Amino acid sequence: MAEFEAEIEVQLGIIYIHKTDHRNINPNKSQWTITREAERECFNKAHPDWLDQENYSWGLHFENGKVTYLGITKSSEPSKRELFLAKFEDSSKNHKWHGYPADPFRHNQDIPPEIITGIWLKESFFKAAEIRKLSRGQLWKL
Amino acid sequence: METLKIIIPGEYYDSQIHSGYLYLWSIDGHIITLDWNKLIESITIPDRLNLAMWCAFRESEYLYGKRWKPIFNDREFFEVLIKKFEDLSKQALDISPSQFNKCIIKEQSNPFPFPHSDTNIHWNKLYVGSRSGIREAACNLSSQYPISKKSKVVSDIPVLGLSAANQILAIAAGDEGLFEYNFGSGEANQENKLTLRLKEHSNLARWLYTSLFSSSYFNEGFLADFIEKEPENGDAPKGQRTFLNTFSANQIFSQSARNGKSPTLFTWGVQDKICRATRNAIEIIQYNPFKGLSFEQRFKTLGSVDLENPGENIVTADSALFGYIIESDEGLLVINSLLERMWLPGEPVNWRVFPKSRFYTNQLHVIYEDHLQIHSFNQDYFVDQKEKKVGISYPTEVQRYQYSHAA
Repeated sequence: MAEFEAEIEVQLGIIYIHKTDHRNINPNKSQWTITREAERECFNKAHPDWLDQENYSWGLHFENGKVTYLGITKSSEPSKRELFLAKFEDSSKNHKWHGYPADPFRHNQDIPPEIITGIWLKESFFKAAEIRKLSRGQLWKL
Repeated sequence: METLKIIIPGEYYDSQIHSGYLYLWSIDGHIITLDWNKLIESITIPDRLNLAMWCAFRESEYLYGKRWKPIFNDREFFEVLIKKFEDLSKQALDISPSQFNKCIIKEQSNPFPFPHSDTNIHWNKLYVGSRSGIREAACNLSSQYPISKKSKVVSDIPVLGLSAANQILAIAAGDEGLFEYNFGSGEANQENKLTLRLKEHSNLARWLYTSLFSSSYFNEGFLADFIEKEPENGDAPKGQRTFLNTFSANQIFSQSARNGKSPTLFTWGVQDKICRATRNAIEIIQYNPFKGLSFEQRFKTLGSVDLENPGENIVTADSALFGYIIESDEGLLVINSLLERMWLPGEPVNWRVFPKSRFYTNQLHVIYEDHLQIHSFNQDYFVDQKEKKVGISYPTEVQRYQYSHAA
C-alpha cells in the first residue's frame, strides 16, 4: 500500500500530519521508531505546553513514566544512534503541525532552548547531569 | 600525596571561582555568591597546617616558580612541607550549613538564561552561553549585588562551550563551527567582533597560548595555530596574534608512535599540551609556538600514558596544571602529573577546572546531585614543569607577564 501523509485533527482546530519521509527509511531523514499513535501523543503532550519562542514544540515519549527513545538517526550518519527528542513545527502557520525525531547531539537547531530544558529540569524528566550534557551537545544515553 | 577535598552540601548546577568569590548556580537557577576566603578561614585546622591550607585553597600560585627551588631541593624542608599537606588531608574539611550561610554575600535571581551550557569569567565579566546565545554581566562587584542584576546580549550564536583569553571569547558553536568574539576596545576590534575561526563542528574550545583547539565528536579535532606578533621595544608579548595555519589532530599526531593503532575517542588541547585519548592510552604532543614556524619546532611528541578501560564513551576531557581529567559515562578519571590516578565514580552534574585563573589552578570542582566537591591537587609544585608529560606546564615568567595582561 502506498504511503500517505495522514492529516488528523488532534486538538480543536489543530491538525497533525504524519510525514512519510521520517518513516520510509529515507537515508537523509531521522526515523520514528514509535507508532503513529504514540507520535501524536508525543505531539499532544508537547503542544502547547512545551512551545518555545520560535514557535517550535518539543516532545518526549514516555513509557511507565520514564522518557524513552522515539527514533533513530538518519542512516547517512556515520554511526547509528537512538533519539529521545521530537521537534514539531507549524511551518506554513496554518495550524497544521508535523514533527521528526531530533538529533541534539549533531545539530544545534535540535537542542531545545533553555525555556524548555528548564521546564524539563524542574519537572525531573531529566537529571541535571543530562540537562548539562544536552545543552553542551555532549554524548550520553538514556 | 593525597588530594584535599572540601564538601559543600546543596543542589547545584554550576560553579565558578574568581578573585575570592565562589559563585554557585543552584538547581532552581538562583546564583549564590560566597566569600571564598572567609569560607576557608571558617574551617578549623591546627595552626601548623595554615601554609598548606593557604596554598591548597587560596593561592595555588604560591609554591610555583623558581624562588622555591632551593627550599624544595633541601630534603628536610621538602619532607616537612609534604607532611603538612599529608596531615591536612587527614583533617575534616566539610562545610556545615551554618558555616555556609555565614559566608553568603548574596543569593540573587539569575540574570541569564538557565539552564545554560557554559560560563566563563574574564576581566571581571561573567559570560554565560546557551542555545540562545551569549550574555554578559559585570561580576566581582562589592556592591549589594555581586553580579549585575541585568545581563546584556553579546551574540545570538548558539553556544556549546566557551573559553576566554586575551579579550577574546572562543565559542564552540556545534555544527556552526568555532567562533571568536573579540571584545577588546581597540578600533580594529570594533570592525570584526565575531569571526568564524573553524567551520568544522565544535563541542569544546580551549586556548593554547594565543592559538585555539576545537574538540568534537564529529571530527578528529583542529588547532587554529597563531603566531604572536613580536612586541616592539623589547616589551613582553601582549597577546597580539597572526593566524598561521589550521592543523587537524591527525596531522598533529602523525609522528606519534601509537598513531593509527587504536581509534580516537576524543582529542583536546590546552596551553602547551594536545591530547588524544584512545581505548588504551592518552597520546600527548607538546605545542610550542615560541620556538619557530616549522612543524617540528611547534609540535613535539611526548609519548603516552596508559588509559585503562575508559568506558564506552568519553563525554569530555580537560587539562589543568595538576593533570588530565577525563569524563566517561561512569565517572571522572584524574591522572595527575606524577601519573597517579584518581577515580571519582558516578555521573557528575557538572565539573570544572580553572587553568587560566591566578589562584585556583589546582582546583577541580565536581558537582553531584546533593553536593559540590572542591578537590585541591598539590603534587604538581614539586614536578619539573619542563619535563612533565601529564598536565599543562606552569608558564615561564614571560608568559606569566602576558597572562597578567590577559586574565
